[in-house]
Amino acid sequence: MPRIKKEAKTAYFLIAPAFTLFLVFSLYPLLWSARISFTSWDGLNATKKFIGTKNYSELLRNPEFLQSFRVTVVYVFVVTVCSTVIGFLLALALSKRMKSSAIYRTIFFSPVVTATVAAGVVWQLLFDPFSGLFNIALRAIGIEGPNWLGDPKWSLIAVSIVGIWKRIGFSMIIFAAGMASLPISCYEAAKVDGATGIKLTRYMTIPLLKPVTAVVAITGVIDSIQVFDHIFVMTNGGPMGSTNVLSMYLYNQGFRVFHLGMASAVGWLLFALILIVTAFQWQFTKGAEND
Amino acid sequence: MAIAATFATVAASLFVPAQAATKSVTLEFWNYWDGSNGQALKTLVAEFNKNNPGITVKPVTFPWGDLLPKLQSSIAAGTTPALAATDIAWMANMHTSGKLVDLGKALGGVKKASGDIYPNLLTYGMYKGKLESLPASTNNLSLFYNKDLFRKAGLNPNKPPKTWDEMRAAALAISKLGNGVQGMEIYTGVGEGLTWQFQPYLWQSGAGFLNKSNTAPTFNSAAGKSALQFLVDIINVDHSATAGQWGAFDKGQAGMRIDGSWMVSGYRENAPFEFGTAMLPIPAGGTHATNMGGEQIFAFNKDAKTNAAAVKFISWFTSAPIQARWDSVTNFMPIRASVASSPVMLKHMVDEPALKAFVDQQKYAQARPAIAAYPAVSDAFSKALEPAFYGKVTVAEALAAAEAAVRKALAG
Repeated sequence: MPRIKKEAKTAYFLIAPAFTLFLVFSLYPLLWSARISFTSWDGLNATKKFIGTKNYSELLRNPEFLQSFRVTVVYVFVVTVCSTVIGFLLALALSKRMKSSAIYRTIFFSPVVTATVAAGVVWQLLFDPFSGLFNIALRAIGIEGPNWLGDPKWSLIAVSIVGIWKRIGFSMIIFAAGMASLPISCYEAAKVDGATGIKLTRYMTIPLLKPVTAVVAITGVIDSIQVFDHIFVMTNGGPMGSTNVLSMYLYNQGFRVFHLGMASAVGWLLFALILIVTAFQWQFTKGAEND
Repeated sequence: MAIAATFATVAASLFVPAQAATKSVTLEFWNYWDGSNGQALKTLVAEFNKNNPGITVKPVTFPWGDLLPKLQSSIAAGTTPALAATDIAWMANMHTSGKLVDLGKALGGVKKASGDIYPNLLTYGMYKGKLESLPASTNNLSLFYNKDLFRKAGLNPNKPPKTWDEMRAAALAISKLGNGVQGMEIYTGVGEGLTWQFQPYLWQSGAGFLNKSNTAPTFNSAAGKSALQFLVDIINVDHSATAGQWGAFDKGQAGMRIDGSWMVSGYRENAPFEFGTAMLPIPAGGTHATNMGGEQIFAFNKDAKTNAAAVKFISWFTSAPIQARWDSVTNFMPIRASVASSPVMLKHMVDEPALKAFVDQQKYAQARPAIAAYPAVSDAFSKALEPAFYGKVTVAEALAAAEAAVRKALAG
């Protein structure tokens, strides 16, 4: 018993620095923002006027916020599904032991470690309606490409493409690791029973990878629900709010129109949303593991 | 003996800077002047530091979009710099922080502090009867046009459009060149960019933006509708401009664009075409008007010694001789009559002919409302107008929506 106590003391001592940093730089600002979300503070004024839950009730009635919510849901859905599927297919294609697999894996993974703002700037150039690579390529085959970032019909697609591009490498690596750990004996047994190619993938790999898929999907949702950087660089939420995701809306409330109280309320609603989605997915994963 | 002397030197070298350090004050000066403007500031500041022993001004440059959030958090945390220069559009928000030094009082009265500074530039510095900031520079919006494209479209490159009709006709002619060339560029992205580019059209047509007391919108009038309709027709009837397109002019892909004098040196160095400038075209029966931009310089309250040093720097930086040199490098517009007529400036105007349009137009520059609600007003206004440029709502609908949204923003 005394030994455990002593160990516990050492443990507390060791986590103290990290915990202090967490308290000062994470928990304190978090609680502070909760407090601000009940005020009409502009971030500059000396007084912070308490207005109760007005920020929250106004947000839920605000068409712009609701549009932002819809845009976020579409973005999260498209990016998570596409990056998961493409990542899976890439992992599958590269699972055959070829010499070039490692090189391709590195290439596909590189967007994950590329600075998003820098990538956003480059993609912005690629999407330029006149001098961008995409429209030059389209023009070469006789199609006049769209104004990708300036047309509300295309802008969300354009920023989603960047989001997918950024995430594919991550899901590919997780799937590749998952595939490497699958029991070879099962595959051999299936092959003896006459299963080949697509059937092996359909009835063996996909079901066996269910927990891995869940991890990729959950992290995908959490990741893309907070998207900000490349949208800020590429479209700034426009045109006509077509790419105005929640974190973009939050930023503009706080730092463009000085509604810091409102911005904090958006932050807490975003937190609630992530919490609900994660709880739901957690249940789903547990179900998958029990299968 | 030699050893003793060495000791003495070492001791002296250790001692003297230490003594100087206790005496001198260091003033951080936050701003967003980068590139050649930032270099010009550094040169001037070095001169000030040299001539004012005991004061060290240290310029700290942030990207334009970062400066305001940085100031915001520094005000909240009580870690403000001694000096800052920001966009005039943000000044009302700086004033309400209640942390700015009263420059009028420190410099012997508002009159003495401002001298021959143009009065409409002082509106951004006054708060509750006190002068809390002075103009550090000013500028305005004028017309940039691509002379090469004018020639190609059969237009006279030395006769830029003077009226709205001429501008529309020129844009249409240039857009017929094909290859994705735009007649002109119109800024349609949400935010102050849209608002400040559009306000000159309102004023030229005779419409206002807010009333005199800045309590109600006045743009939703027949004149206001004609201004918005003019731009919407260029986009959606003539197709000589595209909503959501900005940046084509820089590449020589658009005939015209409205922009500020700070673009002159950049285009002179980098534009892949011959450019010209002109005063903004006006509608038939309209009046000359443009938007006034620029920065104000101010000091955050610190101890008495720091405040005095900061005031000294502000007073020096806004003085006529320094401003003349500042403007001649940065292509900003004079803030004082005595700067405009100074030999340095007059020579500069000869060296850079593209500035003439801006100087000629400065007297028609109007100030945007200097109120704390302005960022919210501008944001609401731009959001309501954006769909009109995309042809999603009519001009009347957009302005009615803007009126309602601006009223709400003004109410807080």
